[in-house]
Amino acid sequence: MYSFMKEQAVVELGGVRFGGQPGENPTVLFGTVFYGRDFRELNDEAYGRARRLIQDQEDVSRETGVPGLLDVYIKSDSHIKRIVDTVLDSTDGPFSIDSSDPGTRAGTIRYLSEVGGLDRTVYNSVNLGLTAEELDALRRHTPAAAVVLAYNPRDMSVDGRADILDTGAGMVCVPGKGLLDVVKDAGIGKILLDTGATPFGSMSAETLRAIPVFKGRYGLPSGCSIHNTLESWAWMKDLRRKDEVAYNCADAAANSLVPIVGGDFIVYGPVSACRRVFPSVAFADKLVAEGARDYFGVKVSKDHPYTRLI
Amino acid sequence: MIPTTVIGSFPVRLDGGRYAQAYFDGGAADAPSESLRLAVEAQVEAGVDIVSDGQTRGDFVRIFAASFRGVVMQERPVVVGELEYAGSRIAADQEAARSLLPKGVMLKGIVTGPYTLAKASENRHYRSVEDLAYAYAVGLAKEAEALGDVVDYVQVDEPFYSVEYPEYGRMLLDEVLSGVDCPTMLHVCGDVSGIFERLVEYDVDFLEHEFAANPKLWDTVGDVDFKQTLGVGVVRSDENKAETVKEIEGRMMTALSRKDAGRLMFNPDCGLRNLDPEVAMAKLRNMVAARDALK
Repeated sequence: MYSFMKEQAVVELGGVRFGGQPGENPTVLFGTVFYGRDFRELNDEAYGRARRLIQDQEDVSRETGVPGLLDVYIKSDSHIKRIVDTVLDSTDGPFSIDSSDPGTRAGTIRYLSEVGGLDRTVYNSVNLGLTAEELDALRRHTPAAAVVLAYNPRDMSVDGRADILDTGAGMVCVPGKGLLDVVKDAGIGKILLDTGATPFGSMSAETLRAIPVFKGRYGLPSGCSIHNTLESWAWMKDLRRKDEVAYNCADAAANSLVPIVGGDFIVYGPVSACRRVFPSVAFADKLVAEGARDYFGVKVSKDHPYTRLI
Repeated sequence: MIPTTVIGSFPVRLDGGRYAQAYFDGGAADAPSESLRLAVEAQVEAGVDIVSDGQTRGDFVRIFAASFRGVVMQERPVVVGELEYAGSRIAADQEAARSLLPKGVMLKGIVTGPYTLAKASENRHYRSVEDLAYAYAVGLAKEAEALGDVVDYVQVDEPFYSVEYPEYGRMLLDEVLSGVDCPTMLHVCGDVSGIFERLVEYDVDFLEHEFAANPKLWDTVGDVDFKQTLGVGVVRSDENKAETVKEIEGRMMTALSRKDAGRLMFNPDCGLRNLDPEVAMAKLRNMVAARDALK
């Protein structure tokens, strides 16, 4: 259990609170939609499935008190309009937009500025692949919040991960600037730090160790997508083919590690996993909150699983 | 011809987009190897005679402190137990660097000195800084020996000597270099005028110092007799602006007016990692051009 001497910022977006001292607010869970094998083909059936999954995450979030956010994956520009329209129509809450393509990320915020919704958008993510075009879009169509990804392929230690935030580690398109300054200069006031999950053999443990270090150093809400470490493990991939239940248990357990090390949010994988991940994280949240309240005197927020789930 | 060298670090810029894409695709991307390759190729292209691996793997304290059991890496290394050298993290880098060198270009391996490591660490175990520095020196001797098997020169960096000189400094360096058979170098940046007469007593083949930012150092060095070859800093490492060939040539001429050409080597004042890669490259190119103009 952790408590930090550094003041911890609480980021609030559409009624969802990220961060603070461990135990103060529950972990925010980002479930990814429009990504993975269920969404290889984006036909009418897939959109219908997405709407049901969005509702399912909202339901389990309401049941547990663990906040859920949609992480909306957009593979390419051609899908922006229909996916964004579907999301805006399906939820009143905040959501993140997610794409591995910087052009698509930029195109999505441009579209959101036309149709409305930037005030509840988390940009996922500003990372070392940032382009000048993307930066320009961020300045013109500034989302309410951004996830800053601390992945540094030159040095995957905690120091290396911090280096990409502080200096850009010689890889960011604005020479000499770290990603944190880039984001602040773009006018994004609400910042979440993603420590950048790495696979086994690539300093994977630093993914979790970076969380308390980042909170201690920057005082910003910090988290990760630890399921990526699990999913990239060859042995686990093989097990998953043979025993889906065992994989699902491991997935829920992996996600529950994040609040234990002080994490504030998790990008937990496909939203279809919400029914297994939310209870597991609720358990960890309750444990952390009890410890934080009893030992550190932290005031636990109302609606926290600590008070709601008896 | 007076040889040129670098002090160690060289900045490189990588294509973040390519590495981001590899990350999202779950593919492999070896950024440390590409960084090393770019740093070595830049030095070779600039025409430097004795190059380094560019020290692109990380901070010059952390990379060595992390090679010891008994150290917990926090914002600074914290020594919590008996130090035990756990094996070289950079010997393989030297082999990779060596494989990139054309014939005639030589390689130096660099070790951060034990006193600098001791002063940069938080000591929660040893009775004194001296005890800690000596414990580091014992481990670093193995590191230096491992490097010595691969490189042409082994250099020890002790930047802290110019801030606070330890009376036992020579003993530390003798320990670090005890297993090294190739020629050795000691680099101390900053103003060494107060300790230069002590440094010339060291059993090393080269002394490398910061003359471009501290030209007054000649007032001391010019009057002292010593056996080592002098590595003269002829470009600044603290200014993100490349000096002209003419300017550098002037600094070289000053060196030649004070010491025999056969006892000189030219280098930047210190590592170049804090400069823009283009500026660092221009400094090296201009340094080599100025040296060539002396012929």
